Amino acid sequence: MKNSYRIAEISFGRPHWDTAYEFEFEGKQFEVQRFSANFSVETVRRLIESLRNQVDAFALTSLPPVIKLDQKSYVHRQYLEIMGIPSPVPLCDGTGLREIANINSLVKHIEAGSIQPDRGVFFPSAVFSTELEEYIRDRYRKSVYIGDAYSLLGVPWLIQPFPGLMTLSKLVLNVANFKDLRKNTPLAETKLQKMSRSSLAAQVENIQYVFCDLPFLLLFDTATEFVRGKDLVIWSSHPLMEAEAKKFSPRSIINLFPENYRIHPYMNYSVLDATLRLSHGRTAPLTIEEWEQILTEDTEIRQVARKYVMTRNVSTQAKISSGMNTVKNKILGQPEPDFAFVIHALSHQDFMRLPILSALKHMPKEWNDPFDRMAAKAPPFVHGHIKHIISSETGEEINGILYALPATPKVLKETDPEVIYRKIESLCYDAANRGAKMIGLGAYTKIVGDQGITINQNSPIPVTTGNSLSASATLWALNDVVRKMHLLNMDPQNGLVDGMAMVIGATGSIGQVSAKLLALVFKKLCLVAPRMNRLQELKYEIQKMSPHCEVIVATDANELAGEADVLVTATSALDHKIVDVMKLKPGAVVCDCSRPLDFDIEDAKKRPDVLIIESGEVVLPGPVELNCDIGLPGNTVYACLAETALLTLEKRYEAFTMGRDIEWDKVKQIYKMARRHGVQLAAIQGHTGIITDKEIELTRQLALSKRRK
Amino acid sequence: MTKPRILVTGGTGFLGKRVIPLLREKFEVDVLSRSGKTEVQGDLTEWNAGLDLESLKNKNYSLFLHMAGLYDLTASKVDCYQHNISTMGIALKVADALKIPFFINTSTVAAGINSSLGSVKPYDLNFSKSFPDAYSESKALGEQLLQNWAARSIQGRVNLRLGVLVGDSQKGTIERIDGPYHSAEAFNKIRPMIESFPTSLPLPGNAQTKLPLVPVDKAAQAIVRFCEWTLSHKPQGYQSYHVTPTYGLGVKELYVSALKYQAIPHRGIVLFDQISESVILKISKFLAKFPEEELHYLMNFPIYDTTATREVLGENWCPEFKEYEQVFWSGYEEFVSHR
Repeated sequence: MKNSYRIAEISFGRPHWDTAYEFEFEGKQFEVQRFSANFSVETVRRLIESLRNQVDAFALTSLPPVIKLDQKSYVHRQYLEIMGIPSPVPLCDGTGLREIANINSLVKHIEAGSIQPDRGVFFPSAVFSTELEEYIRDRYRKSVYIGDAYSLLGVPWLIQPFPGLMTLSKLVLNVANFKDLRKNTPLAETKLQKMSRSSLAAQVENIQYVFCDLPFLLLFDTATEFVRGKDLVIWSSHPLMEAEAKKFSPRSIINLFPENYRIHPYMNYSVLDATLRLSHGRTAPLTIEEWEQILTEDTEIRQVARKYVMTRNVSTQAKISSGMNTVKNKILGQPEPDFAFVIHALSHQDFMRLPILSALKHMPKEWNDPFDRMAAKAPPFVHGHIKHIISSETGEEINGILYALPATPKVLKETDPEVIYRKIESLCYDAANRGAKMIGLGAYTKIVGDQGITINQNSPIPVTTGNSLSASATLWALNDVVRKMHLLNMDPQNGLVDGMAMVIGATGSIGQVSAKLLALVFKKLCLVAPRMNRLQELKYEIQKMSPHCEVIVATDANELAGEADVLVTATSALDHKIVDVMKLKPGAVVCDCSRPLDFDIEDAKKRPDVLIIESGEVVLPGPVELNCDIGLPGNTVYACLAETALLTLEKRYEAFTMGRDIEWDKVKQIYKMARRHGVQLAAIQGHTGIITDKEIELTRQLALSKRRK
Repeated sequence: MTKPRILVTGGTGFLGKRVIPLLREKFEVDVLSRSGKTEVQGDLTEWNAGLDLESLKNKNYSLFLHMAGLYDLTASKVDCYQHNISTMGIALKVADALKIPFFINTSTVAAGINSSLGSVKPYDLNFSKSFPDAYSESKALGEQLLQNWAARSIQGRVNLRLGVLVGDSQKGTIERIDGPYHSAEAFNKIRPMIESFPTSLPLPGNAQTKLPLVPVDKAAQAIVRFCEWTLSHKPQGYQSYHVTPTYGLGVKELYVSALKYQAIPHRGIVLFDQISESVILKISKFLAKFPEEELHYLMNFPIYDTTATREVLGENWCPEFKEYEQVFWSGYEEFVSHR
């Protein structure tokens, strides 16, 4: 097991307080260096690109906020851009952790009397800490003062919560989202702002508490007069920044950052997020429930905190529509859906699958793109139902509902992620109202923005991307194809396959999972990745798991590619060809798990004697009835859909797979679930669609003849 | 007595090439660079500069001289931020990890370009006013980072704000056209216009502005001198100095000198800055191809305070322009004729 980690903290804010430090946590060494991007998304991208192969995690701080108001989320465009930067190591921003820990500490402080909100609380910017603001607003409505109008827009009035505030804020946020964040901070000093400083300081005269984290506070520079004589409440530790804040003579500084996790004088939620993930061997973001378990034992506080952390509370409106739907379903004899799944048009051709649009075939080709763009403006709709999924183990029956976004991948890529988020979130609410207990994201809907994390946080029901079962089904398909090819022999003594498997991008999340699986069945395994030290660590780990497998490591795939019988590629964001298709062994089976794909159609055409597979699809157990066309033959469904169904069958209503990382543990779990409930592998997808047994046989013949030569 | 060992970055640039031979006379110098030709190989854009810190620890460096950076007024924000801010953090971290007691950084007068003060002290940074370009902003932020760095083993951090580097005071050799040389370029472009201009020639600038020109060899000597001074005086905390001449060159003097050495006859010069600067920049760019970003500096240099510098380097360490005017222009001629 690895015991020293590097964390690069990337702050979106100013570089004034960049620093480097080391600490020990749970017996492991952590080395942290903070870099700042001075509000430039491009600089964040550059930093991530130049460091991603050298660090174990990125801790992102001072990011544009994700604001939740009235069951709707407002995600800043720049936040999505940053969270969407490709990185093989996790990007940790402390979301979830911050909210829970802050509410926890606040409740404790209020109980102990060290914070008395009735004496007036001022939020220079409430949108950066909505959980705290909401908590106090719910209990001490009269004593909350909000300075967002001043700090973000330059208007010199403090706002007190009033009935129309939410509507107003939403309007403002819609505007603010289009602006560069830098122009939304106190850094952008308009003449009006300069004039209003004294007015602001006068308005906060009788307020006792100022809730503002250090990085944001220090953006006010000399305009920080409003903390003089107040109790300043912060939630990160940085001795230098604190010393700077003290220059403005606050009466005291109260830190909400949990004391037991103040491992080092410099600590914030993002670094803690990264530290906890690395020390627990987790790469994917932790769910709210997991954070709760780590942070609090007090279940009462958990309940309170949860209310302000996610929008899982059901509104009256939702209750009414859910009731109405139940009645409607009873009358129409429709079963209530247990889970929901979102798909979208994969190409223009998919529109023609809809009976009413079949006339499109006669439309001139050059109208296709404009049509696709227009169609994407239409609201998402219920595409169909999947009924009678019956577990072969428990005999339980569940039903699902399928939603479709009328947008092709091309259009989705062009569209602002924010817009797609809104659409999917609305589907989540609709599904919840219909009675679904969880929702899965299909195809491109799960790779938009931060890959489901934000959607999950704002959805009333848990969201999963289904990637764990996708990964396991792909490897399942690989196994199936290798068997059908009959080119490899199994050693009767130890049951191992006599051949070499190669994993390219082995240190990534899918790569690690594949390598561990292949090590169980192959005699020889070759791991390829750019960093040798990481490879050595993985090699050691695998050798401990499967001592019979001979593991070799390499940094260049081309050297040994010709010897491999099976190749799994799981590289990310690399624009050059990782391996030359002409170098592959005749009869090799390639499993391309990279998105975008490492091998294109051209490659497949060049080597008809090599089988390149993309993914494996499955059939669900039971007399499944699918009343719509999802682009797969018969009752075959996408593996990610099956994951959603399986979790529902297991009653594990949780965000099982989230973000860009897939975890070994989860892949194993979901594979076991699939076997238990009777999910079968049905089809193997290649570049041009389903690969039939005939095609496999053809490839085998070609490979054999080539080998004879 | 053995010479103290120092670690140097940016040893291969225009300035670095002048500094390194001088440093080698006084110190054991290890140059850190990406090329395989220097003592230490590393890359300041990588984690820990891609160095094996353990093996370097026993070299017992007594000083880290950080000269690496990006000097380009037109470079993109991303490049400037990466090479002038992020690398500063990495250099500081490396110096801390190698337990190097002193850190000297070379910055630029551009970091103080947006100052609203009459006389700029070497510590002054103004973040409440915007910077003319990403380069100066990144240099200023880099200085701020150096100033605030929570050092663990670095005792003293010395920042040297170098003036505008020009050809050396012996031969005037230059490698590219920048700063004051643009005036000669511009005049050559509009030579016929100047020759036929009926009255005094109106040119952009004002009488108060002084250009902080420093011959590169003098700057190199100053840096070496500062290295020695740092090791003997052991300054603690953060110190900053302007490596600029005491008086500097007036804009008008520059113009007169440029016209004289280009042999362009004229009927006198009047400086004007009454109309909007952006209009002046546009006109100069249009008429004489004078790069806007360079002219902005020419028109806006504040007065740089050098009291502290002279205490270290002596009163006459830097010649004023008049003293090397001739070599200055012959260096330019040399460069132009080989272009």
